[in-house]
Amino acid sequence: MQEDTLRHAFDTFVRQNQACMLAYARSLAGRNRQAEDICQETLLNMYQVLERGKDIDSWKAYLWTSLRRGAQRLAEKQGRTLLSGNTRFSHLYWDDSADTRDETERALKLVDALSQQQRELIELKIFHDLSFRDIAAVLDTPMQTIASRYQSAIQTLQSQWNRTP
Amino acid sequence: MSEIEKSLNRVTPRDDGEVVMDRWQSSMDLDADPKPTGKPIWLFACAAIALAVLGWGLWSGQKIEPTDSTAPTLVSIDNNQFYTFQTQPAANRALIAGLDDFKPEYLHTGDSFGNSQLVNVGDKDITLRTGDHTSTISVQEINTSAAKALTKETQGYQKHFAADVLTQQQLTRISAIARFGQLDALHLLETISDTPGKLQTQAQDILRTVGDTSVVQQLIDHIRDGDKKTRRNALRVLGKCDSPLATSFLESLATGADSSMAANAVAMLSSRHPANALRSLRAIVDDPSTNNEIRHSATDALESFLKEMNSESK
Repeated sequence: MQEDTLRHAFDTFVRQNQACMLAYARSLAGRNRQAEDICQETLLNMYQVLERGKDIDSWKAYLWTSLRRGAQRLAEKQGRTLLSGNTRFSHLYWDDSADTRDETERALKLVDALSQQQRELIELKIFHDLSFRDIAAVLDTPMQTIASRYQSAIQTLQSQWNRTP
Repeated sequence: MSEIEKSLNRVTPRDDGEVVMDRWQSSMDLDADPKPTGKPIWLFACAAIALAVLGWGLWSGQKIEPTDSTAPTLVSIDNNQFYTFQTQPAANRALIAGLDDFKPEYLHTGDSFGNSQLVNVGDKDITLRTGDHTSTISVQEINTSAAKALTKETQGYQKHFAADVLTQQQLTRISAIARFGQLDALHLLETISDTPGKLQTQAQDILRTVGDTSVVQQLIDHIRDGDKKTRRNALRVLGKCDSPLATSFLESLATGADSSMAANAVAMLSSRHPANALRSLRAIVDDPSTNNEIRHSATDALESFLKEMNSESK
């Protein structure tokens, strides 16, 4: 009975987060099959942690950190660097509203042109709605650094945005 | 909020990610008995409620520590009873201790396992404290539990492989288990190495190098002492190990009295790298103790090798 409850709750959790998980894993790994592997491995780990009754304060940060570490381990084994797939965000994300799609597409192309570090920050902060505190945990970087890098990325984007028609 | 932030805030993933759910459910449905025993009901209920409530929105500022693949996960539960080791993907250190005959250097006083802390490491037992409760676990029990846990873990991977959802990381874990000479994991590697797919080449590479003297010796012991299935599986694995000990053992089988094993050994030696195969086949043909039928098949194999090499050189 209790196992069913746990499984049901976790299934709901997976359903809620699957699209964002897959998109982030693809942006990290650059390859679809590997991204799916990373997601599967992360979920199995999380489920086992839950079974063990381990206290986790921020599931959001935990999930994204696990995905990133999984991708990092895979990249190291394959002798490449994380984000080397250089996947274009405009292929992974979109605006599903027809009214604003063109404008959003233009913004996404500007994000594509940012550095990898800045792109990941934008992805975590805006696309996945993580707080600076969570992003600091995911990237293992001080929160103040994260906040200033983010502001710098936004300023770059905004100036490009103002320049292009 | 800047104009561009407003635009980007409208972004959602293009793919609905259903494949993630499919693979997750496949993994769970394949696990015959993935749930540890002995956990209080309230623990599951609290965990489930926490997940449902927390969802996306709740987090605090404390640093979190996701599963560390090197962390030991020996777990002790209440009622004076020790439960088995957590299986995959961690447990490396504790499981190494169990499989490799317990060595005190693998565990250290002060190490934590779940809610327990290691307070003493001895040659024959270790002592853990959980809250006010102190318990002792014998080295023998560690070994038994570890072996059982690894067998169960490998069974899970067998099912994942059969359903084509085995991951790269799981293959790495299988190879780690195989390097301790665990036959199920070695046999699974051998099966993967024989099956066309994304992991086939890697499994072949792992198998070639997995056989250090200790693992090969364990395989030889299985072939000598195991039941029919164990002998067959161990022989298949040994046939793919590139080590001098494996080769000389196969050659000794080929020239031995057991004609069935000898025929298998010849087949395996024939499928090795041509230079090695030629050398082995010649040794079998030249050995006076080789029985006639085996000598005949080794000669055939040798001739077809030479014919092939001649045609390539022309």
